[in-house]
Amino acid sequence: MAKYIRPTLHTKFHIDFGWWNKKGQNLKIQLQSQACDDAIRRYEELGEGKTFDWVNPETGEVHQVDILWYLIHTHCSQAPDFLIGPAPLVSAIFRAFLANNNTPLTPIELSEQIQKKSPELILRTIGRHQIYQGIRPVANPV
Amino acid sequence: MTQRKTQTATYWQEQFKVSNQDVEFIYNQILEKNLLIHLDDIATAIIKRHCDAEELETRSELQRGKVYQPKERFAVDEKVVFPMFEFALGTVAYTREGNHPEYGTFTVIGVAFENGDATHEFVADFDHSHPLNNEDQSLANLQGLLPPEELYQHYRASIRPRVQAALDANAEFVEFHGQYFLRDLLAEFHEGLFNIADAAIDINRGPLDVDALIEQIGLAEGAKITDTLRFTVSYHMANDERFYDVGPRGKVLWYLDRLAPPEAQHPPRRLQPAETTYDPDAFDEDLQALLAEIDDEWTHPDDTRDVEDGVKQVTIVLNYPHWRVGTLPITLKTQSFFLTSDYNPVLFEFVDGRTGVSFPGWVVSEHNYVFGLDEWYKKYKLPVGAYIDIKRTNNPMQVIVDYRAIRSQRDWIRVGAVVNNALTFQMNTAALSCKYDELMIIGDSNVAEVDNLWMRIQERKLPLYNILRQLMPELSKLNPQSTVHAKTIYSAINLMLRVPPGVIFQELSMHRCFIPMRHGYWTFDPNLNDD
Repeated sequence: MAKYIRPTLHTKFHIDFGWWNKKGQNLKIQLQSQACDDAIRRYEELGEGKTFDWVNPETGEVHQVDILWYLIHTHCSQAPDFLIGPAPLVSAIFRAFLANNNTPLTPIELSEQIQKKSPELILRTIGRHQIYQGIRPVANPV
Repeated sequence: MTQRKTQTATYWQEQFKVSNQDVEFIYNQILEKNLLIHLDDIATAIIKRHCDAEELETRSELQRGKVYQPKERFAVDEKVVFPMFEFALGTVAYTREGNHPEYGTFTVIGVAFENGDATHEFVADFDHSHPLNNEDQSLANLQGLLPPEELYQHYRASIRPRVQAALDANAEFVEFHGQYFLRDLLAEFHEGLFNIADAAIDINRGPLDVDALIEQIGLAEGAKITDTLRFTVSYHMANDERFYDVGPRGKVLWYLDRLAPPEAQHPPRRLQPAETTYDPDAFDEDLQALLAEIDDEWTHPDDTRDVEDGVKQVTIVLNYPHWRVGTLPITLKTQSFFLTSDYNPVLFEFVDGRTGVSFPGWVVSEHNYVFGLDEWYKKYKLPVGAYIDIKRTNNPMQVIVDYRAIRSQRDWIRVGAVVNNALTFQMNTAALSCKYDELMIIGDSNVAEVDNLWMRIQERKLPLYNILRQLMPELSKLNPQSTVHAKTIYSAINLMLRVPPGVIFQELSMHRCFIPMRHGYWTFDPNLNDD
């Protein structure tokens, strides 16, 4: 097991797809709660459960992710209030990663993106042992 | 992104340790050169050692397999090196066709890693934009990254204390003001020289620099004074409790501990608040503006106003704790007027702006105050709330302190008095001969009684909220509108308790019984509860 290193304001976080798989959590349900009506309609047309090969924008690693991710990233996240609209903090952070295709961000960068709450509060929220919605520090996966 | 570990924050902030080999390397460097080495240079040398070691390691790692890049094609059983995963070596277990709405045809390779963990998939035959495709993954390209000096600038806060701790734990090294040397290389210095140094400083009636001391104690014997001789003397003086360095950054000045006032070495309790944290986002615009206006050393610099570089004069408003102990706050506004040291309080001279007479002052930058004005405040009968001017001179070791004199007149001002163990206020006339802030002024109070009250509050650890509830009616009764300005609350409460303005404003903003009335004025309704 990797040694726990306390995250700082400069630690990069992302959504860990491996966490969703390991925990048996349903990423699709989480994604559905972030999707707009258009995306849901398109999703139903494509056929629920369809996946695609998501490519890590930094490492090239591939995860098979529900196609709804792609629809939200390319469509819903373009709406002006997608990031700054009213949403609980963890959901807002999750949306920030959806919008940037899960490119790792520090609490400082997240605070700038979602324009709410201080970097310190964001760090206190996502930097603990308890992991919310798969958001955790980027770690070497191998 | 391919990155060497010695180029990452994780390595320097979390993994970096100073090894015995590092310490031995530094020992040999000092021994060979017989020169003092500064901690920053030692740290940089150690960083370079770690970078060089990784360089050697990388050369061999890259020869173990084909370097991973998304655009490359890989065959089953092919060995692949992943530089971004600390050069992990994997073997291609399978390949499959990729599936992405935008990318068209590409391959996904399943890679099994040496540690036997689950297979991880990576993109291959991928000609689209990806940072790893843009990089030349050869060793040559991995070089030319941030040099040790820049790495040190980035991660100094993590690296420096670890290097310092490793050196300080080794008895072979001796240190003074960040310079390191070897104990065995120190020049000879016998105990009797301390007595001569003590007498020399005493006779001088002021501090002596190292060269003057060396001359006085006859260590140079006519020869040139070397840096190692200066270091030897300073190292020994620093480790004898009789002596005390009082020089500003870059200049060592030796003084006698017994001649320094206690306030130069220990912050007066009157200046130490029990609570310093506050959230300025919780304040309304009026309070945020007032927070920036009040000259309090405990207000975070981000919440104060910027000061122009090189400004020749600033004015501050004197608060009760500084008035009581004869100090001035070091804030963003005042700090550039005073020379400081990373190691010790600095002895300098105040120059009385009225008479030109100079007298000693002490910059205690560690605790953000300047001491030495108690007699000066008394001499000119300056009240709490007086405007104090601080002016530069051509000599950075001299600072002019002045007040704004006016023809003596009798003004109605608020005066505090202790009645039945509580602070009360009333408006009285007082003779004043200086300009002052009408919102902050508090006239002559019985200092001994206020001190006793302050002690009782310290002992009882009364919550600020309770004190505010008691104080607000006292202050608001002085005004026909029953309002009281936030600056007045700050000034008055600091008679009883050292509280920074941010903490007071937070308390005012939190409770319903304190009601904002615009422009910084507040009123109080004791019947309003927070529930």
